[in-house]
Amino acid sequence: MKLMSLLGVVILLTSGCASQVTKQQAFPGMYNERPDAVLVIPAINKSTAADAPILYSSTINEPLSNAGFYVLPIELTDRILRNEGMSEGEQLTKIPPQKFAEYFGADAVLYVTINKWDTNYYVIGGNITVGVNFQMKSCKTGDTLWSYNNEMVLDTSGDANNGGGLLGAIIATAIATAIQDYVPVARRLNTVALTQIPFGKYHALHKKDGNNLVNVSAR
Amino acid sequence: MKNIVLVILPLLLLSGCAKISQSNLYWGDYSSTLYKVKKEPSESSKLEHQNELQEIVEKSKSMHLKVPPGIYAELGVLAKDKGKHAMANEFFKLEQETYPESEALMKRAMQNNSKDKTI
Repeated sequence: MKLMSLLGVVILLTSGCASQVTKQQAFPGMYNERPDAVLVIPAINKSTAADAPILYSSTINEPLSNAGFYVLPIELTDRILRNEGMSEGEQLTKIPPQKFAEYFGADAVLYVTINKWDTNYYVIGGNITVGVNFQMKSCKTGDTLWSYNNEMVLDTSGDANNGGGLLGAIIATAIATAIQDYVPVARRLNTVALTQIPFGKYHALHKKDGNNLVNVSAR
Repeated sequence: MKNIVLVILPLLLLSGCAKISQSNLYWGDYSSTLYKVKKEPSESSKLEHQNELQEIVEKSKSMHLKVPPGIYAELGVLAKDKGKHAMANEFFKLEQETYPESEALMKRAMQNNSKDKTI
């Protein structure tokens, strides 16, 4: 583990084999509907960290807007949903996406499921793992227009060969892991994920990225 | 000499301009000040975020860019929290003018604001 690039972000495709197709082939619905206004509902938390959804919520507006979409202001939509008694992502999956068109003027809903938000310690070394699944659904038909699933691991081992021997290494790992945060990993994951989406109307490549290649896991 | 100029010139140009995304948006430190609010909601983290939002508005304008999605709306929510209802509505209107696709949501926000409901 320590031989691996220190503090390097290792991208692991969740599926062993992946094949490449064009964005148009992978996500034809995005090209047919061209959603613009996207509602991001609170993340569905399947990790063991209770604060993961709230911390994650700070990471998505910027990259999703940069991908060319109008992100309905999350601070506002979260509050409105909370006032309606719906602050949990899980509850919100039971509402048909069409409802969100009426209520918020959304063209699509982005469902984010946090599968992993973990810190792992080894004898020497450790890592932070963030695993996220994205599903964008149409508010017209309820169909899934885009999806992406990935896990990102940040190795926090530090340099075990420098000073202090084994004990020094363990202390260094504990410190590195404590000061490290999940959010930079989540941001990185978002950035990678959103290169795979057919870009929205404010992006320079809107309607021009249909032939770009994306990875799809062969399942 | 020519080589040095060729190397230095782009560096100068780069250092002079702020980072703009591929959708022509300037975000400043948006994600990190927002993160601080989520991590530790306090008067100081909220104020820092509010200042960042205002700076994003000013810098975007000075660079002739659209103010990014949600920035005006967030300023509206913060104004509303301080009881500044008229100011909140101004911000919601600005969000709607910048992004007409926000109309339904901004109308709802303004309605709730006038009824003095929690948004």
